[in-house]
Amino acid sequence: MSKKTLTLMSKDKQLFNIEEHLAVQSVTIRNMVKEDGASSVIPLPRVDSETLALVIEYLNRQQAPEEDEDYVKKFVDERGEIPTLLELAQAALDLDIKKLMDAACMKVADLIKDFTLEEVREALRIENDRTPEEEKAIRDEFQWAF
Amino acid sequence: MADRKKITAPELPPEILLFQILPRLPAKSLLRFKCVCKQWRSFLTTPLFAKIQLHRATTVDYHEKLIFCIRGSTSRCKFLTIDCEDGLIAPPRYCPFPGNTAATITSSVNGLACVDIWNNAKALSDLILWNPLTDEYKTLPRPVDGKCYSIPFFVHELCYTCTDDDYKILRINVDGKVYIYSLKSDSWRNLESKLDNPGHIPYVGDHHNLLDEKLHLLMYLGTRYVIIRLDLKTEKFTKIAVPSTCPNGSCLKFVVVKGCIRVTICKVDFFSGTWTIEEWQLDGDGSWMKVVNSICSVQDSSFLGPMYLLRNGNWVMCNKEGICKVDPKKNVKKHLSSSSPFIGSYQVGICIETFVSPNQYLRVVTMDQMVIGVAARSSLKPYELRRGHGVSQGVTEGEKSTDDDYKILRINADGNVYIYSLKYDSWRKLESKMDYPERIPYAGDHHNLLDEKLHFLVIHRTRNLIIRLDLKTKRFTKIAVPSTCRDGILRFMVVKGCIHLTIFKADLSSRTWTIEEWRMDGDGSWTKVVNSICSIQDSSFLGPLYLTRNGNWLMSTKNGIGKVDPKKNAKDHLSSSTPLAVYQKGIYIETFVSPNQYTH
Repeated sequence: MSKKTLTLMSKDKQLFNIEEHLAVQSVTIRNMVKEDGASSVIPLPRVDSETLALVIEYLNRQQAPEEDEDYVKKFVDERGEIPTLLELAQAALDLDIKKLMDAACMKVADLIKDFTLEEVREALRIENDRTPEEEKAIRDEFQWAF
Repeated sequence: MADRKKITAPELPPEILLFQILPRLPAKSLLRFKCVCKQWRSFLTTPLFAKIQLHRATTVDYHEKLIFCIRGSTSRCKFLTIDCEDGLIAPPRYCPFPGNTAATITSSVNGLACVDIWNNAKALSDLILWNPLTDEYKTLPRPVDGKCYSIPFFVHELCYTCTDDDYKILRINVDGKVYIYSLKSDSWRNLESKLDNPGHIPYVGDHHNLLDEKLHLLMYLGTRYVIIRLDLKTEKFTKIAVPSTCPNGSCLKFVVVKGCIRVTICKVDFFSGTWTIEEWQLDGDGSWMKVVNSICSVQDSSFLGPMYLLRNGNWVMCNKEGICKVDPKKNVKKHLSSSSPFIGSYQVGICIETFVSPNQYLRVVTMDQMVIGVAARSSLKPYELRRGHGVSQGVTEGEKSTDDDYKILRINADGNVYIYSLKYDSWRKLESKMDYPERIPYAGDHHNLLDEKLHFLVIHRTRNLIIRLDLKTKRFTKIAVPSTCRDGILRFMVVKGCIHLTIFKADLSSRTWTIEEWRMDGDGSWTKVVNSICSIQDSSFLGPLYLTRNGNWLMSTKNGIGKVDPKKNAKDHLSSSTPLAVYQKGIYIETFVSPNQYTH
């Protein structure tokens, strides 16, 4: 039995090949394959090529099921950059790869949980739209958490 | 440092941050992160977020915390929490509610604690529903028969029922009468079923005693224990005999394991210093099956007694040195805290940390929150809705409506316009963009639809302007307001097939209110139809709230809510609760229209 190969296309039009039986770990891809056989290229307009390369690396892993948990953890640990992890989490969410999404989100949460407010805003590129007075009011309310 | 400012807004949709990252953060971080930005603050206070976080807090991130209430020297008592997993202690802080006696936590569920607090001045106690994480609390109305005493002859068991999404408190009186409080309806009612022989219900602080909406309680009948089970749907009691090996003086606790209620019995043999722990499973037919039988030889004469059974089967026990945790399967003991609950004026309870609000059913969600909520449920791409504020909405409906559908109009701050259709349960973006998204005051209009054209007010460069959206052609038209309507409070009204605009203006020096009414003609011109200088010389008026269909105004006053008929210059008092304080308000009519009517 020959192994069927699928082609995925990233946002920046780069093509990636992956064996179908590995690709269908993504529920999104599995549904597409079921619907129309997905003989042609599958476009992923929200995933850039670096992130897609990571996803493919993850899907291609050759781990025994019992080591899988550890592998996913290690996989995201090695990519400790918050922007990379967020892109990865978003791609995993879009492609519906639950384990990868869980691990990436958990890693981000672990990284930011002890951050100061300024560090959170910087890491997640969030603009501070509060005046110092408003911030102080919330701080006073939950003084014990700071 | 200067570079940081240049970083552009993320390309990532907020969906991943809001719905995936935030729920994975520890509760304490979330409280701090309310300061990060406005969107996070408002999202973190939504019932939707509370539900998502609750799901994690009761599954993967399950952390039971002991709460110690300490009698205060001032008018409020203090409390501290100890994590039963890692023994981490949160520093003491004040309880938000008044009362300097230590609060008794009678039971807790989903991070809400039912607290009985003795009020010396009134010589009776108050029941309070409290979230120790967010400090929100609600003082419950008194049960029909008056007092709530902190003595154990009354039971106050808090539970959550999924079928009607409600928090309930079961109260059993000494005389066997049974009452149930519903948080949703904020009221008590008497059950028809009475407990024949109520006996003594020991204070057990159980919190794993609800299964399939059936609540299990232990009752002591003088010589023996019996389990009473209350089916919250049928509201009937069943008595269940305890396993035969359950002698007096042992401690029984409930735990739910794999869809079965189990009773764990902790027996002590003082001579040998050993504890025997048995676990029995209650099967569907009411019979018992022993599942665990471990003799736990914690040979330690300092043990005073078991306090709580944690969900994982570990026991929280107190000894002479304080509080410790015992894992009966591994025979391991872990010291948790040095304050002993039986020394000094402590009261102890157990709770998890969630964002569930005791006031959740009071609160009308703001529109921004509502739209996030609807978007999440309808699995539309919520990233298109990001950073939305200045939302306006109108629900369109009518006998003449062409497609029998309810719609929500959403206008973002950037002028993008979205329409939600209830029939298709989805959002879509309109091609037309709003040029004037400057500020859309929340007017709560509900008479602003005519011929499937929705009218709403926009404040553009401090001036009022009317925007009309034709729901059929999906096009916007701008309409200038009458020249005298540059300021004042404007509301729409449909009279005889024409849109009328009513303007309410205050003259603070003479304390008079002027009400004008203008009719909009087909060509977009205005005719003044009513011009009543309504001299309600009453300084207690704070501002108009709503225009009712008959042209009367609902006003908020210092004494509550009043109604003004401008034609007759008459004023009526409606309610004494002032809406400017803690309430959110809305206006509606009572019908049987279902929000789920299209989901068949």
